Amino acid sequence: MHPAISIIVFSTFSGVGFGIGFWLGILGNGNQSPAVVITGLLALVWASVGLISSVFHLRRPARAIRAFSQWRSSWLSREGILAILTLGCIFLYIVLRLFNIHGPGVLVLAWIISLLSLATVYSTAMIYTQLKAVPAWNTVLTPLVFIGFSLLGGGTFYFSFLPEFLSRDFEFIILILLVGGWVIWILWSLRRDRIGMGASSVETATQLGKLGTVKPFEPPHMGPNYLTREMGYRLSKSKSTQLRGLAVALGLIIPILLYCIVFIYQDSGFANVSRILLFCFVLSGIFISRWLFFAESRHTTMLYYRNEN
Amino acid sequence: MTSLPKSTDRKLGLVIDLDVCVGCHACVTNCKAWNTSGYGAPLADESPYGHDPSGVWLNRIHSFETEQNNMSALVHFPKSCLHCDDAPCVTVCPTGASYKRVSDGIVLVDESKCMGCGLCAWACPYGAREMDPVAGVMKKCTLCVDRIYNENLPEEDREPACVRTCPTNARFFGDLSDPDSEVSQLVARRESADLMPEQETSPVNQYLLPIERYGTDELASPDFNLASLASRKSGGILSWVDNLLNGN
Repeated sequence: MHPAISIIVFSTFSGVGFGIGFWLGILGNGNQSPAVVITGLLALVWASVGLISSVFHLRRPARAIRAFSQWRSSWLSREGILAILTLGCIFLYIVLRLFNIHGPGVLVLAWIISLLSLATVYSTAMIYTQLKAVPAWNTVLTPLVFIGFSLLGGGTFYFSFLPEFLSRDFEFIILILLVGGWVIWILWSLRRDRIGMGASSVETATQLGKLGTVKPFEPPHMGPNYLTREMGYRLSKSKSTQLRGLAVALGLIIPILLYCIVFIYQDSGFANVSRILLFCFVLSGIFISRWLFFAESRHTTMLYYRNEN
Repeated sequence: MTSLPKSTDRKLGLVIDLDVCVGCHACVTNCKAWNTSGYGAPLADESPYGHDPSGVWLNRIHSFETEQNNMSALVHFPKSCLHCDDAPCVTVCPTGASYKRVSDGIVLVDESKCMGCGLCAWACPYGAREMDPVAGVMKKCTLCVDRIYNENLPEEDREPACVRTCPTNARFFGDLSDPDSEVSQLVARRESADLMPEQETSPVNQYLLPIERYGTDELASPDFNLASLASRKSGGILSWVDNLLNGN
């Protein structure tokens, strides 16, 4: 699949933004108002940058408002509605906290924010997971990857910029998220290598298998078309291996080293710089992995166009 | 609403005979000609006379080579929207632009609602939907909905442009839910198939598969040698004349 930058920015940034939102709901009530308000605003900014980026993928963005209408059948529609709801709740929460309003209602609102953030990231993932035509995406691992990286990105944000939000236990949870998120992604990637076109093949696509081996002979046109540009992106094996290595190095290995540094040089300037670097590295690793999520995945339409074995 | 109807009153669709299609692209050309001036926005062409021409087509012809026992065959393979009963392109649509009609089962795009997100094209396993680069909306086969019910056309023209123009009669149009229709009879008589049944889309369009040409036992045996057909057999008066003329 064509790795469109607008969609990669959309899912990465909104994932991190709703990850910050999820942890805000968990951690916000126990913390002081100014930091909560600023964090909430940052969650809104991250998620909004992602959502605005997705609009650049539309050919008729003026009609985007219609995308909220088909929640009964469409995950994309559900994602849009849940995203707006979550942003609204976060906004309401920070307004309440700004005026130092506390109480059971505010507590429940925080939990709702956590739930809605998870639901939004889940429905983002389901936009891709539901597509049987892209067998690499059509797995329960896809929502796990999206949710794992969302919680990781959001959690790391607190670890890097707002360590006072986190208890010692939560700092340990960051390490679990870091390893867990990447393990799920590695499982996803290994499955992708194995699954290929899934149950589909040029024989099922043409139903010509009884005539023997089937090979595409001539495409309909000499040049590329919308379908080959959109769904025919191909990444060489060597480049894929390099980029996967880079994603794991930037997103997992370097952050683990930085995590160790933070705990060896507690509260020094060196540790604080390492905390901030940790978020930047995790984010760049997630970004590369999301690029690969599109670039490496193949679409059954290409069975009609070229030899896909 | 982009939920699919539970059932449709009719199942209008195409039956394509892969044994008869010669890959002439007449259906492709007539499809483009009709649909660029008919229902919805024109089918855009980008750089049609330039270095890298590209355009939107609702019907494309692929060719496949098959091989068995050293015998190969070339099969021309027209492909357009299959108007699936369980069309995944319809349910993913967030705007309500994509829908399947209850009255005849045709899958259509309401171009005034489409925001051009392209998700339906991703959802279609067959590549039947293409984004129009100029209008910015999704285009697909309409089964010539503006021909088949068009009372301004002579009755014989009230069928899809591809069917009307096919010079070899490889394409048929009709109601596949009616067992007495010509298309249903064809499907019953010949071996036919759904494309990619594993995608569980329940396509309406049917493909009539080529009749096996090279499946006889003699050809399948490992001792069979094509060259033997061409070698000269001795005996008889013609052989005597042949030998005489060759000076043997």
